[in-house]
Amino acid sequence: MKPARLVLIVSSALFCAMPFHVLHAHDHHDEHDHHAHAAHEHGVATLRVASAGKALVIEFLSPLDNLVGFEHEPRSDEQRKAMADAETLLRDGAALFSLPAAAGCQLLGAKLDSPWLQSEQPGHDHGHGHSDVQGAAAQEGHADLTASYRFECSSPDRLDSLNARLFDSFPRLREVRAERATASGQGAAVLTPGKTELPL
Amino acid sequence: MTPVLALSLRSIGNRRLSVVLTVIAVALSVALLLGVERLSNDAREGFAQTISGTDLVVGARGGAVQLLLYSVFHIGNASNNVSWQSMERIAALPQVKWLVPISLGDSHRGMRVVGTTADFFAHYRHGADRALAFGQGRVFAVAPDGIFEAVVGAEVAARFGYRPGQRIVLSHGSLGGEGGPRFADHADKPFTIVGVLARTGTPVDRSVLVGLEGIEAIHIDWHGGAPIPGLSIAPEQVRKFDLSPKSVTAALVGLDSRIAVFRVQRQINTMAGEPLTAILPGATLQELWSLVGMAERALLAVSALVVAVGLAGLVAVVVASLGERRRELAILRALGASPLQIFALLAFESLLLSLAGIVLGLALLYGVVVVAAPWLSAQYGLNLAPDWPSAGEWRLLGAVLGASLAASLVPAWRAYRYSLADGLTIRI
Repeated sequence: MKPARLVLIVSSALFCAMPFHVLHAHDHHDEHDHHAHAAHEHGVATLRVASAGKALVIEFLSPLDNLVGFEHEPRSDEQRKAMADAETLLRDGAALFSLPAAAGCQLLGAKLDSPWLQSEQPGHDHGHGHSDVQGAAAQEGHADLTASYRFECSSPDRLDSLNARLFDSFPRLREVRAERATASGQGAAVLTPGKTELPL
Repeated sequence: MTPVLALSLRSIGNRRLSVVLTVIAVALSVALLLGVERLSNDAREGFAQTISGTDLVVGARGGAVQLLLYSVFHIGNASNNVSWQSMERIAALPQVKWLVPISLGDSHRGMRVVGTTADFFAHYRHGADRALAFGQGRVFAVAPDGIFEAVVGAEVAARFGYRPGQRIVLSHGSLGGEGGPRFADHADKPFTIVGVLARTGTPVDRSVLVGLEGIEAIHIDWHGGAPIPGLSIAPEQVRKFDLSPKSVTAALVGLDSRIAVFRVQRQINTMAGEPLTAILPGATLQELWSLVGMAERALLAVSALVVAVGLAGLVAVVVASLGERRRELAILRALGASPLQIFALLAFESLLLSLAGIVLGLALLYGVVVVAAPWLSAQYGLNLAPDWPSAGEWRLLGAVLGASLAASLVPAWRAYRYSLADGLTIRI
């Protein structure tokens, strides 16, 4: 194929980068269990932002280590407190993700999911109804936390960026790989403590 | 300023050849710098314009960028196929609005053959939500009538002079065609062109599109990548066989609401039964650019160095000329020119030469763009537009101008020093 020549750089860059992802995928092919386990890389978290009409959904997925510094069932009061503190921070979606004031976004709800939640989910959802969330189980001594947020924005056309304040609250976090699907299309960006803004 | 200008021009006119050569060197370097910038921008733009309106691309488990490259850009190959059952299960997910399967692997005279359904023409979008349009003809009919009907992209039609009604032979894999082994051709089951697509500037232009059943039909008497010896099933008879596809290469998926995209992605990625990968094409494209960005920056850095070399050459020529021009400068001093005026004269001369180089470089770039654009578009699907310089290009031009300003101070300073030290005492 002709374009192949032009994009030689593309592919070589790609193949250089690939083993890196493979390395961190922890992808065990169990005969009985084809559930893929998400990449688990300490210091790195995933942020997914989707919007349509007035609705805005944000999903934050991180190894627990980034948030509390350990990935096992909390054993001491100190660890239980660390976990509870992290959960309090994470529930406050409006503070973690600052959205343009002109967009008029209201946090409708936040839901956390991790193997050892200290706090009760506010509202009705007692029974951990999280069937399709990857962070639900601890695997190979690793554990993740998934936080999902629902916002409603009165002027979604003014919703042009999102500023993630995650790095201030969680200093162990080094990098957030963000993906978005919004009115302006799809996009991806890597957020770091020096670059916290995700264009939407 | 006017006497300085007049004197500069006269003095330059006196040294035409060396001056013209240096200006050409600067022009070439500027054209190279801007060309690299423009080519990478337009390539980026072209890639970004290739797919829109598709929420997810689904393929066998593998790298996201790889999946995007083979399914949408026809670069590289899939490591595995996806079973038809998985396709049906994804299509049945409540949030999924449409699913267009894609089956790759065959070719026609070096062009990719894309097996798909008629939905492809309804749902594929490129650029700002632009649908595919037919230049001539129509979509291939639904099987069984349209099994051996094909739609060709604009570039395929233009290069081989195809029109609706013509018959073409597909080849197995990327073998076959001119110069390839004869066995690799599906010569016993030719396809009839029924439609030619209008140009899109995407890989669709260089594709031959047929129905999934057509792909099944040409491989029905094949096994393990070769025809089964002694077995040949005539095109009229294949309709009796089960031509429903067993597996495809990838699928484009559209959702009812964008808001569900990550949920559906997760459902597909964790689907029991078959390891699959679902990607957001737009997001994956940006990941790809962040990888390619490094190579781009390296190219730009090399071109910037070339500009530096060009300017250094210019300075060298002007400085070298100072030796010959001692007499000229001395006369100017004798006539009452102050050392500062000498400085201005020389600085102005170098600046004038670099400006001429920049202008000539721009002209050269636009000339090349206009001449090469049709060829690049046809060969590589790269659309170069002779637009006004972009913000990035203006920045580069500004940087070149700044650098030439700095460079112009070198000969000016030398002349200033000479004019003070030498005066009229010339040692010949």
